Amino acid sequence: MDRLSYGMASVKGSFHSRANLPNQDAYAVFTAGDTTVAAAADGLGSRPLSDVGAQEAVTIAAFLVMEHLLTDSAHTSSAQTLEELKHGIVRTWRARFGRQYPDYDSTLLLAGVSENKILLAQIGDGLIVTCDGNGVCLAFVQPTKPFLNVTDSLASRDALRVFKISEMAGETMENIVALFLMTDGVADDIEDLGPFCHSSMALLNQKPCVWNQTIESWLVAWPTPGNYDDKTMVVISRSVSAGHSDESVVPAESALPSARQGKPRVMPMTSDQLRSKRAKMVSPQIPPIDKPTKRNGLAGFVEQLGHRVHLKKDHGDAVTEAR
Amino acid sequence: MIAMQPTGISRQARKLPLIILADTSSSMAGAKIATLNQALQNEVQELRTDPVTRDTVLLSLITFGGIVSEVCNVEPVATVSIPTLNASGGTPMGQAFRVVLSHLSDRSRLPVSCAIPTLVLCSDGQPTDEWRTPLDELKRHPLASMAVRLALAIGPDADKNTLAQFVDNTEHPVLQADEVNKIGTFFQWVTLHTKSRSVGSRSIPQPADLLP
Repeated sequence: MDRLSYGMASVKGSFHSRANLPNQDAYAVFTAGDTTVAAAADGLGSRPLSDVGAQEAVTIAAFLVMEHLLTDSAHTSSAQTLEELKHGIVRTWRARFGRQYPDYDSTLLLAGVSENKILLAQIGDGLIVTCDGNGVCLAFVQPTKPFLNVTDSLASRDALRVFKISEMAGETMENIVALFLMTDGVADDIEDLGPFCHSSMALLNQKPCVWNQTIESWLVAWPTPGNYDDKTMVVISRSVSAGHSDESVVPAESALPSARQGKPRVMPMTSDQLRSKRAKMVSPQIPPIDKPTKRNGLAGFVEQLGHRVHLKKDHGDAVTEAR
Repeated sequence: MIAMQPTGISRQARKLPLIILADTSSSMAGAKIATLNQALQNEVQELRTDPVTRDTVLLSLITFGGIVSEVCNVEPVATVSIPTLNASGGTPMGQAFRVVLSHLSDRSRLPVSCAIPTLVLCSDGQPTDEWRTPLDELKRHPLASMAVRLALAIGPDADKNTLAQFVDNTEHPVLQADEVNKIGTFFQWVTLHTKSRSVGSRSIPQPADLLP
C-alpha cells in the first residue's frame, strides 16, 4: 500500500520580525488512518487580525475536508457535494468572526489525500502543485494575480466564485506522487515548478527523518533578495512501500526523539462522530463566539470539536493531538 | 553548514515601481522647476546608491506641462537618466492620469512579481483638462486602488481638491510646500518612504513641516 510522508515549516518574514508582528501564515496537517489533509493560509497583511484568521482558516478547512474524505466514500464526489463543502468552509470561517470577518481575511490552500481520491482547493494566491510519476508538476491554479499583494481571499465579495475546488480519482489520482502547498512568500519566487519540486523531493529524500527541519532551513535561507514575506511550505509525498498497510500515514519525522514523535497528528474520530461535530459546527444555533484572540481563538474553537490544540506561535501552525 | 536549496527559485530581487507625476506647466517656471529638477536628481542618486533600492526600484517619471511626457518608463533606477525638466504650457493632469493607467495595465512593463507601486503627484495649479473621469478610471484599476498614493501641493494656487481626490485616504494626506525649498523636503521624504517600502517596513511619518 502507498505510504504517505509529509513535512512542513513556516517562517516569519523579516518585515514582521522587525515590526514585532506575528507570522501571518498558518498551516495544519490532520491525519486519520490513511487520510491526510494539509492546509496552509496567508493572512492578508492589510487586515489587523489576519494571523488569527489564517489559523482559523487552516483548522476549519482541514477539519471539514477531513470529514468530507472520511464520509464521502464515492471515488469522485458530486459537483454539488464539493460546492457544499466550499460553501461550508467559507460560511464557517466567516461565522467564527461575525460581522468583523474582513478584519481576519486570509487566503487558503488545501490538499486532502485519502485511499481513493485527492481533493484540492484554493482561494487566493500561493501555489498547490501536483507532481506525477512521470515527473510532470502542475499548478492547481495558475498564478493569475496581476501583482504581488493583490489576491482573492475568504472575505472577498466573490469568494465562492473564485474558490476553486476539485477532486482527482482513479488513475489520475494514483499517479500523483507528491503535493506541495506554498504560500505566496514562497510561490511568487518559484521560476520553474518542475526543477523546484523535483530538487525539493530529491533533497528531502536524502534525509527522510528531518523533513520539517530541512524545509525550514530552505525558508530561513531563502535566496530571493527583497523577499520579506512570511513563508510557508507543506509537502506530502506518496511512495509505494509494501508492508505498512496498518500504518499508512507517517510523519516524515517519525524517527525523531520522542519529544516530537510523541504528538501524533491523528484525529481518532469515526465518520459518525465527525458528522455530528460538523452539524454542530455549522449550525446557526451555535451562539456567536467572542472576538477570538490568540489565547482563546483557535484553541477554544477546536476544543469544541473535542480536540486539544497546540499552537506554535512563531510558526503559526496548529497540530491536533489525540486524546 | 548551509543547507542545500532546491533549484528553480528566483535570485532576482522583487521590484518596487515608483511612478512620479510632476507638474511642469508654465507656472512652475523659475525657482520651482529648478528645485524640482534638483530634488528629482537627488532622489534618483539616493535610490541608486542604496544597496536595496538600486536593485528593486523601477522608476516612471511622467511630466505634464503643455503636453504629457514619459520621461522614463518603468526603468531600473540603477540605470535611469533624468534630463533637466523645463516648464511650459498648461496643466494636462487628466491626460497624465491616463498615461499612468496605461503603465499599470501593461503587463510587459511591470513584472508580475512586483510590489504594489507608489504613485506620487506634485502640482502647483489647476488641471487644464478633464481630469475627473481619468482619475476615476485610474482609481478603479486594481493596482492603483491599492497603490500608495502621495501628493504635494506646491504654493498657494495648487488645486488641493484634485490632489486630495488623487490621494483619497487619510493615511497620507496631501502635503503642502509653502516655500520652494519644501519641494526638496517632500522628495527626500519620498526617497525615505521608498527605501522603507523596499525592505518591507512600514511607511515612515510625513514631514511635520509639510503637513497642512
